[in-house]
Amino acid sequence: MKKILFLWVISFAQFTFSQKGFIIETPEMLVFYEGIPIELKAWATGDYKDVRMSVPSPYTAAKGSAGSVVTVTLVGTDSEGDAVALGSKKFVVKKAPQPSLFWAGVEEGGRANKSAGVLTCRYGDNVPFLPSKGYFSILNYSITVEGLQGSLEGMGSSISSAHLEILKGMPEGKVTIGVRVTGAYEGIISARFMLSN
Amino acid sequence: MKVNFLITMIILVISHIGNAQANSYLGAIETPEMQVFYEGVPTQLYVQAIGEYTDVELNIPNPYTAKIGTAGSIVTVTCTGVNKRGKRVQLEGQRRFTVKKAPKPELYWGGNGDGSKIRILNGELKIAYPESVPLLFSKKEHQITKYMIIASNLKGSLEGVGGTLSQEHIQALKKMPNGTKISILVNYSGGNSGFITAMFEL
Repeated sequence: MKKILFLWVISFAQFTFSQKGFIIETPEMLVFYEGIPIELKAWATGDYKDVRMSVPSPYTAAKGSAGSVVTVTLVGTDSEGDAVALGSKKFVVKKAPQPSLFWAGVEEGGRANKSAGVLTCRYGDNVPFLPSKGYFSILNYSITVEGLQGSLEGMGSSISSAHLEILKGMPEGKVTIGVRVTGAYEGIISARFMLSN
Repeated sequence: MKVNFLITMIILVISHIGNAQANSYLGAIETPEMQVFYEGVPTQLYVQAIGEYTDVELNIPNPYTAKIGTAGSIVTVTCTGVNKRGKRVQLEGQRRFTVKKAPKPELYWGGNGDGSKIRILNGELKIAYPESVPLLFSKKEHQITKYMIIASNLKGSLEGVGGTLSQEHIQALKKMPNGTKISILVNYSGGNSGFITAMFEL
């Protein structure tokens, strides 16, 4: 009887004393973004082996799943070899954030380089995940210039040499570029630059 | 002797069962790269000690608001708790939060977002965060301080103050033919300030 009780106490003691540290969460940041792989880290506070999640890590929410909720459950194997549910967490899927538009590496509001026509979209440091995870492709562009009748429309991510020639002939002023982008984010992105001589 | 031993054992077992119930949180799922504070945005932290601790405290205020201008820095969060003996102790581990600039809100003209075709001209400009930002931004409000319009059929620009286009500017836009490209730049304040551009088509 004494032995049984002693073993029982020891088993509880092991379970309790193996727990350390703390758990911290920002509930409003439990988010997955469409098309963006998010790294997940799972751990159990008790004496469990083979702790695993119901989704792969990194997890990438599918396109078109914005608004849905992904429940990630955690399962471990106890000392008896039985699978034990260790909890779950709900993540809201959102559309990927809008990237920023750069003209020859110049950020919105900057002075445009009229000799270079490369347009790129990328994330800045204001997204909660690593900015390099965003991938984008520019389909077409539209340019409006202060004082210029009509707009300059082109395909792809490089301003055509004909359009660059027109821009070179323009006096100082403001120019707005709108691009249709696809990839992690899909839609129109506009940015304004300064034209200078 | 036997009775004393049994009583001791029973007390120990009950105390451990109590502990196990208090520590019902068995597993944790974290997204380390999403441990982010945004400049000027209060972020609520939920903390739970693993083990038998009460009165758990963080080394930073909760909710925590990162100061404007601290983007790029790291806030290291640690935790203390009061153990069974009534002593405040440091809990094992730390978490590192990266401070980032708040995302830019988006510009809407009469409820239409960047790249939209405008069918009914009205003067209401509004900036708001899209659905894609985390929930903590839903409480942020911004004010448009001034606007500037460039149109593909306009020499020069139309400039005004506030978030409503003037009647004079609306009339000027109404005279423009369908298909005219309009770009609007607004300056805004409130929390984080800055400017946003959006392009529309009449």
